[in-house]
Amino acid sequence: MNQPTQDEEFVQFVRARQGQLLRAARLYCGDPHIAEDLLQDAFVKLASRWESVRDGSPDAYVRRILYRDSVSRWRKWGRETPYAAREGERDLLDSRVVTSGVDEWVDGADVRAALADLPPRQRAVIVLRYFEDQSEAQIAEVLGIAAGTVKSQASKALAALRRSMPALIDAGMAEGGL
Amino acid sequence: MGKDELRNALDHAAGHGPEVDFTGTWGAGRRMRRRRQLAQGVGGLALAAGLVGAFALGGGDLLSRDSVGPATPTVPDDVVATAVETDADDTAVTSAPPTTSDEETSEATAPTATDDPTTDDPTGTAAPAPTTSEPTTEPPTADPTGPASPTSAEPTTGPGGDLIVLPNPCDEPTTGLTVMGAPDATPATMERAQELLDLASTCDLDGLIALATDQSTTLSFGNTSPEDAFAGERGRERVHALASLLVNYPPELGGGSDGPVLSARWPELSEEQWPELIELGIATQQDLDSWESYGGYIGWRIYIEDDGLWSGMLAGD
Repeated sequence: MNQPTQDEEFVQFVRARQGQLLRAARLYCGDPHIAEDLLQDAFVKLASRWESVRDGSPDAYVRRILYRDSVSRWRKWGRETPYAAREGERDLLDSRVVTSGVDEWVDGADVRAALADLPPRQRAVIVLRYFEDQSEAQIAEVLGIAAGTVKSQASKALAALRRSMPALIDAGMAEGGL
Repeated sequence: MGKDELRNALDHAAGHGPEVDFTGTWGAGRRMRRRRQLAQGVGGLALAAGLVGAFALGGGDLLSRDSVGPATPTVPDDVVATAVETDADDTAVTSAPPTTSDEETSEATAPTATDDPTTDDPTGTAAPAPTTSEPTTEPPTADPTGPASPTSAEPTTGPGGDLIVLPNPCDEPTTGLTVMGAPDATPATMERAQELLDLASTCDLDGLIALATDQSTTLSFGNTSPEDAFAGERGRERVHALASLLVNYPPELGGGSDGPVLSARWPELSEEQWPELIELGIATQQDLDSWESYGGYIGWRIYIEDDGLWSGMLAGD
């Protein structure tokens, strides 16, 4: 049986991971269109370095790029207030009318807004831990920080989320950290 | 309410999809790879051409960077110069009455006239054979009243041993420093970084302003001209930071999101390293506190693209 070529391996990886990574990117930036751009850029960079990354952890590589690029974008453009168009309105790019099928996206706006109020690293810690189920060590590797910093950032992030979403996070969790 | 609720809320907020298929990014990635390799090839050719040109013109600085730097202290400030050490290790000679211990004196006054200084010279230069009575180099005496000269400053290493603590180059210029690189950085990027380090470490403000003007370098989040950016105390701080970061830290690569060209950003710095910047004299504890509350390093950052374009030097958010 023939071994898959490099591009076939890459396509297999992308096909398997694009759904979850796109959803994570939406949480990083709060906007579905920007999330698509971020993930596309990350996959392009992955493809450009596929030979050196494929035998390691391409998943971690893409996560790292997503995080760094979202931070770069955040630094460049500043904090953004995610806006979710309501049914019947035009979307952010005025490209299409929002249908009732995005009710769920609209419903999640409060959580995305609360995430957007966090500094980017705290936001990334929350997304990686509670959305991507990454361990402290894995988060530390992706973000390039110490495990202790992951804990302290998580603690601060949970405390902030508790202030903005008290119904979602109780005091015990906010104090307990990861 | 707790972790499961937070997980469910995030899962809900992330929406569902994808509505876009990203499997077609392979082609764009390979084109980026070819551009990067091309940029590396062009940079290598430019470097080779420069060396050939320098040779054809009769020499020039043909020393390799490895043999020159990185800069390390040669004479601590608190040591009285009693012996002058030349480039040739085994031909140290004295030029002043010995005031150190007998053992040190005997080493310093023991000429090895039969040694060929050109064979053991770690820099590979064919220095003229030194004599025991006339040192070939001047003792590093500091003249506080005289004008700063590029060779008068001696960078020191910090307690960790690896940190090169530079005085502000506009007070005490330093030469011969080597930029800290990264294996994947392109030659064009490294050449530009070295050029910036050379300009900054000698406080060549006119050179920096000319380069920033030529490259349309972004020097602030507002509209700050290169002349304004390098003027006054803030300009001196910028020059100090530029030299200190380039000489001490490698760049972070591939972090740019502004297009297909990968960029290098100095410094690549972990949070545990932040206090080093205080030691280097380019940050304060207040800066570190603000970065901590921000959640990341937002001190001075230097951006150089893969093709060598100096795209920015920014601090703040």
